[in-house]
Amino acid sequence: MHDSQVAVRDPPLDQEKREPSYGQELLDRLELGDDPMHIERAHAFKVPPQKGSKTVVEPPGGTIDIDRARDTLVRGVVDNADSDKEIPVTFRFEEEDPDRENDTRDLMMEYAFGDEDDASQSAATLALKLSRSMDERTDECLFVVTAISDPERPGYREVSSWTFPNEEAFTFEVHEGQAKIDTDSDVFSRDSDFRKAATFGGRDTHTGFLQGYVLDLQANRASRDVANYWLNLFLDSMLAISDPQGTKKLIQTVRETFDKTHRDQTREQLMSGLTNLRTQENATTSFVQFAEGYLDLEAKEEFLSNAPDNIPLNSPFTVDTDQLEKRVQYRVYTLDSGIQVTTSMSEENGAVQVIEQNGQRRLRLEDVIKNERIKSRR
Amino acid sequence: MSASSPDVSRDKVLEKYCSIEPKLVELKQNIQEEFSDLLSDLDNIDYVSFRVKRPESFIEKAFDRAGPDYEFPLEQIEDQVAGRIITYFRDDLEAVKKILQENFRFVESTRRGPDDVQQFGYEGHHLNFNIPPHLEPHSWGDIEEKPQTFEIQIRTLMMHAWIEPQHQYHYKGGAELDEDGKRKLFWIASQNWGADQIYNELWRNYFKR
Repeated sequence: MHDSQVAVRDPPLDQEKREPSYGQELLDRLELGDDPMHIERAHAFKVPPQKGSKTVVEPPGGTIDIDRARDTLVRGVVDNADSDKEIPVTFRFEEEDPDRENDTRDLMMEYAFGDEDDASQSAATLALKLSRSMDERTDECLFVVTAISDPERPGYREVSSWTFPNEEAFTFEVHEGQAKIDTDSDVFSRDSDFRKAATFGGRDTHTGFLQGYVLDLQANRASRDVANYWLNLFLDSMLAISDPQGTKKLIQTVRETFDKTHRDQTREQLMSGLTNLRTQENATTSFVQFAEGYLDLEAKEEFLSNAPDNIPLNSPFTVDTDQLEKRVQYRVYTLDSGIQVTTSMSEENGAVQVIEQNGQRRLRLEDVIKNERIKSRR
Repeated sequence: MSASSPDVSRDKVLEKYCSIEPKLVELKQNIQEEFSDLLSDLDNIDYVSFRVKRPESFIEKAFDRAGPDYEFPLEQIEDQVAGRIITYFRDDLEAVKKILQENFRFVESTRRGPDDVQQFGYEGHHLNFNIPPHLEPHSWGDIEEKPQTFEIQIRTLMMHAWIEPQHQYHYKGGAELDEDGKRKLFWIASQNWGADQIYNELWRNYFKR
């Protein structure tokens, strides 16, 4: 890795190249004074974790008065429309099922297009499903679900759902010079990184509500395992970018950056990053994670500018080692002495030769030293 | 409101389809490139081909042909971009399907074939995949009404040899077959089924290294 420490910041996105996400579109239209969404209905429930419970309790809740809560709901949608954190997902379907059954999808479509009674029932069923997906590692949460229409898109609906974790807070009163504090357990955090969001949309057809977005604010592996209840168990969904495709596109971007860059440091960091991924078991990464984990500021900008159009930079994937082995064309030689030599990605490298001598394969390396440094372990 | 009702004008739909056709072509190219790369290591692929549905064919499906009513044909008709993968042997069908399902997210994956063991007829694997974000054409998000999926058919050479001529002339062309004609047609299907079985045995027992 590069010796000098550099501050890592978010790279400026090439706005002409990258299309705005759903969330950014929403923000843009709100800023223009548009009314981009008409809230058809909204429900809220207090959801306890009940995964594996023998006795299951229906989460309490019901309809929200939209007129009274409109600002809160709109702000909720806007707050969660964080284009950098949105990750595209698709519902999971079974083979040999022409009816495309998926419980969560069916419930969301019922919520979007059904009458008031059906919608209320669907919302309650979704809340119960969420409850049964959450184990004791997850706090009780506020679950809010809304159905939104767009006057410019006849027949189109979007169902957005959020969870906000429970947070005990103080209440404070002063009465006749006496202060009183108490705790209130019915408070839920709007800004917590543990909140979740998902949006699916479409028309009431065979092809509606197939794909959507989730908001995932938890980037590290440990919290991801916990957060998987949201994607896998509750939404019954998968990330839109598969592991092999994510890995392939990452490697292609690394190669392109390697070929285009004029910086040796960039090349070295890219190589180091791939080597690291190769040696980890079941490594999970994303374009942004790879860039922030292995590249300095300039290399990060180069790398991300070469990422394919429309690839969601934050969408995580598990590194597919088959793809890595197949597509990364460099070799690492470990010699008898313990010295390790990694060749570059160039197809021909005359400085490195493998020769056969006395039945042994030997590595011969001779080149002009360009850079030399001493590294030490702490 | 259905595509066949006067409110959803045929001309308007055709106009919209023609306006998105260049984007469909771009989508087709992206998908084709990706599929060709994915399948390049597999033996026994005869060919991989993709096409964008011609406007006249789209309109015929949306309005004229007997079938489901389409209220939003530009979204609901899922073979606007479609591909076909032809393999040599039956054993390869699963291998191809597996690779595709590992890489892309299907919304439907069905094996088509006769319901009754006493029957012979069309066989193949049909899959509808979500269009993944990284294969979307430029400015895809600007199009309001558009397909969410693309369709893939996987068949053997023998399956393809049976379906193609009759699809052209009987199913789409409307050629009428009397009882004798139908028997001959399905006799061919049975022969091709048999040839597929034997070829597959040859592959397993002799050709495969």
